[in-house]
Amino acid sequence: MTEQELAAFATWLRHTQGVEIEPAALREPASAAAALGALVGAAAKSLPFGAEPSGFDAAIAKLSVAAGGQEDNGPGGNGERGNGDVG
Amino acid sequence: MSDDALAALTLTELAAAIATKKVSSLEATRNCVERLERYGPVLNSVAALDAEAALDAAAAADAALAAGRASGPMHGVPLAHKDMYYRAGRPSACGSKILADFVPDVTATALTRLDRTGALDIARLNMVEFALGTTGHNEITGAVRNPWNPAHITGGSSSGPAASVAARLVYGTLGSDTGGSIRLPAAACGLVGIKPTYGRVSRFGALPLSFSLDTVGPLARNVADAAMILRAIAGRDPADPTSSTAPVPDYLAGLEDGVRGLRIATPENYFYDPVDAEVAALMHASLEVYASLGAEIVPVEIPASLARANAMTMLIIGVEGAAYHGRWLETRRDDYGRQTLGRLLPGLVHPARRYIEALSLRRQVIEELDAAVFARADVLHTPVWPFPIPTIAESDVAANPGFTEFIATTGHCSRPVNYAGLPGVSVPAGFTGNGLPAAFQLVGRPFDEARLLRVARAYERETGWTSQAPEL
Repeated sequence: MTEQELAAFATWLRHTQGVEIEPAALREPASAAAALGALVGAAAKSLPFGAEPSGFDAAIAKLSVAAGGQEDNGPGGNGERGNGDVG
Repeated sequence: MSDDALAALTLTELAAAIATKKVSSLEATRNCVERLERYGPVLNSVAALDAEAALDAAAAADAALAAGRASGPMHGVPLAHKDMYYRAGRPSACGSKILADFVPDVTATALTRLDRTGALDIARLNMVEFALGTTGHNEITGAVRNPWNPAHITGGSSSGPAASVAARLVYGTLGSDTGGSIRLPAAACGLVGIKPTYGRVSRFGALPLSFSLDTVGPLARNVADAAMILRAIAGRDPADPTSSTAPVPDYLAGLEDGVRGLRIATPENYFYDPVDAEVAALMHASLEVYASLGAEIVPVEIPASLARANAMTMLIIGVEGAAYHGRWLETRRDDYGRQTLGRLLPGLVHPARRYIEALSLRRQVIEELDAAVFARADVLHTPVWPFPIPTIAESDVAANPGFTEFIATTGHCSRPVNYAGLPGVSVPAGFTGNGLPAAFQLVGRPFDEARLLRVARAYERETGWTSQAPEL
């Protein structure tokens, strides 16, 4: 990013998130964010229409061994209620 | 029993010895306190120790046992945990300057469940600042030192827990794992570490780093010890809505069942991409052990989607970490270590769209991994660290240019497992030429921790690596 772009970025951060950061300190974070964002953006091209984060919970439940009934509660296990309500 | 022999007992051995009154909790705890006071400063592994409270708790445990009121399977066993598990009224600094005076008003569910087993919680253990780091460096509290060689790192972020259990200062510990923070230090210190399935263990009362990825699990001297701790802490907790209602099996029950007929997948791509030849040789040797025990070794191709998971995990941690730390990023930025700040700041500038995409892609990744690996094999076997455990000096990258690439490499094998939400166990597998421990990782289907522990135990029984301890 150019100095001008970094300065604009710092201004945007101050306005939108209330975080005061000098432009030079944003160079590495902006670079890291751009690199990771590019990787994720490329991967996201394969996302099916309408995909959303909650799909992960459904996949965990569907693929778990517990869903397939492969595990039993042993004598020292905690049963389907888990270890009870302690919160 | 001599002090050294007492320290050398495993958690399960000590629990049995206390239950049968061959050893008192007070004897064991006094020995731990002396070792924590003697070796803790050398390793920089202890954040706080209240010796008087520890000895009082041990005496109370002995009195309860004498009166026929044993609490549970870990009655009187001294443990200590990463300094991010809240106990009401006790400070929890989380390896930071910012929370140095923080005193929570709640107790972590995992601690409450360990309390119910009768285990003692005798110290707070050092950690990477806010659990955000893979090496064990901490600019605020200093690097924790590896008991196998104090010039080397412990791995992080559960650095103090790993060093303390490996040095036989306590008998077991809780760590946390968002991108490898249990498995990396367990591997570096010669311990068994379990990163459970996302939701297997309540996160209530544990410092959050990334709520979509955080998991709570044990580091222990051997497989049975780790299984015993996991059995105590797993299960649904209404205080953590993300905790699962999946049944909790007895993780100790099938440990000795062996691996004959089981299929162990070995990756043909991705996981070995950055791996040092010496580490790779140890990995292949461990697969040969499994083959000799009757397991079928199945080469598998890792889907390309998993190869991108490391980057997506780092983005998610950045955004969720920045959200949690927002209040301090506004007001106390100078109180962070350079690397911690360097990893949190990108979280402020990631577009929300990319964050949602990174989360949405998880379903695709886990389904593709299931089809490619778990449709063909029972567990996946991979390295943990890609290279021999480095020294503190040579891996002190702080926030220097390129530090994110270094962090990405250290978590190359561990971070995708968090992204997929799967269980992973780090298993000691010998030593590299520098004398530091090496380990492999076993990854399973969601909630298949029992099978992973069984597979880990088969190797442990055959090789005996976990019975070795560092000379202090």
